[in-house]
Amino acid sequence: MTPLLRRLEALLFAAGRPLPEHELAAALGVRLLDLPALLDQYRAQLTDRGFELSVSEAGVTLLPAVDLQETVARALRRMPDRLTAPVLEVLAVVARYQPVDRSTIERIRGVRSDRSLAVLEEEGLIEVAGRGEGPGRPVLWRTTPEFLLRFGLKSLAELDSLWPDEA
Amino acid sequence: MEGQETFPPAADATRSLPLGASYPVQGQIFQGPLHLLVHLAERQDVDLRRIHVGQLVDEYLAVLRSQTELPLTEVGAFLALAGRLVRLKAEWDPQRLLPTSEDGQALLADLRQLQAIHALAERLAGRLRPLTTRPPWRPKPPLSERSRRRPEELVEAYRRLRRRVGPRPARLPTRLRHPPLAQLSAALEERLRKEGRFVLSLEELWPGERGATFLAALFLAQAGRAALQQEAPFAAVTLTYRRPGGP
Repeated sequence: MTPLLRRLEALLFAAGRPLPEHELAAALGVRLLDLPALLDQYRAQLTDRGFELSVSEAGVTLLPAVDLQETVARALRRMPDRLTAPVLEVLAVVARYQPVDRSTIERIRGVRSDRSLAVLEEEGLIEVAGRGEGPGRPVLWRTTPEFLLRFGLKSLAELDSLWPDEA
Repeated sequence: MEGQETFPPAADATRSLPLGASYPVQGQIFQGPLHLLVHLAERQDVDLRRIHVGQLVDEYLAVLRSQTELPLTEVGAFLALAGRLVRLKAEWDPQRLLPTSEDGQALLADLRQLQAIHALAERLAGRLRPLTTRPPWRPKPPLSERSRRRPEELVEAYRRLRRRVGPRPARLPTRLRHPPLAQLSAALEERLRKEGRFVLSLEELWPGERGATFLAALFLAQAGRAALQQEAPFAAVTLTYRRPGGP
């Protein structure tokens, strides 16, 4: 492994959070344009390793390999048991229509959704995006970079491919 | 029925559930009436673009009739949708497959939207990864948690803040720019008693304090000691004295 790739690996390991590409390029002293090629080189060296490189709008980070995720999560007792079907449904509404307020979510679902929103906020999957212009200036919600990481999405645009065609 | 022969329902829509069948209508399964309706449609494999309104309404009502343990707080929403569905069925033209009324089309659009959301949620669930990055990256505690502090915690937080920003400043003495209102009213009443009637100058009592004079006049009027009269907006205000016990 070249010294540059070693520095890249050390940075990603120590950061403990997704690093924005411009921040990573600056830390490595490379041009932003050259970063994708460097990341590809590093990814090529990660075959059969216990972790993988994740590059998304959330940033660049190292994640446990997909096939090991459940094993590791069980060992660390970090199973996503709080993300029940109703909570995921609220998340789907936020992801699709963001920024969106609670009353819109509840109109779409036909039921109250405040608890699910609280769970999603605690899980770091949604965040406040500001306030709407309607009566009472309701809080607007949007998804976080953590949402992209948890669902293996490169960007929010990828959600379109998950939206049913007939809808 | 003629309508059904002319417009046969979608492939499996005829495979209906027996009326009165029991369904687990519980918070975990059906969170609300729309969810139940979507479930019924999906259970029949009904394409919501080619929905068989009558059958779906009958099944929804049958399920609702069979439920005796719905919490009172939920019954209203289920019944409201039932009422909407019954009206929809009454308006439904059997020569047309889809409801033509505005409300019917709005309901179908809502159902299709919820169905698509279900599909998206299922696809997201299939991609869910239990882990993302390692600690110490943790999400912030939610706003709702932060606002759910116990009173003693709030008191302790206040004390910490006081220690940080220093002792509370002494209250600044309040200094009135004019004498108290009662004193001003007494002065105004004294002049009225002597003159009986006069046009009020707003700076009559205290130069530069138009509000104080006006308030004193209102105070007198409220006490029944004076009548205020103004011919037009912004015109001069005339005060007339009223003797105590007089007309």
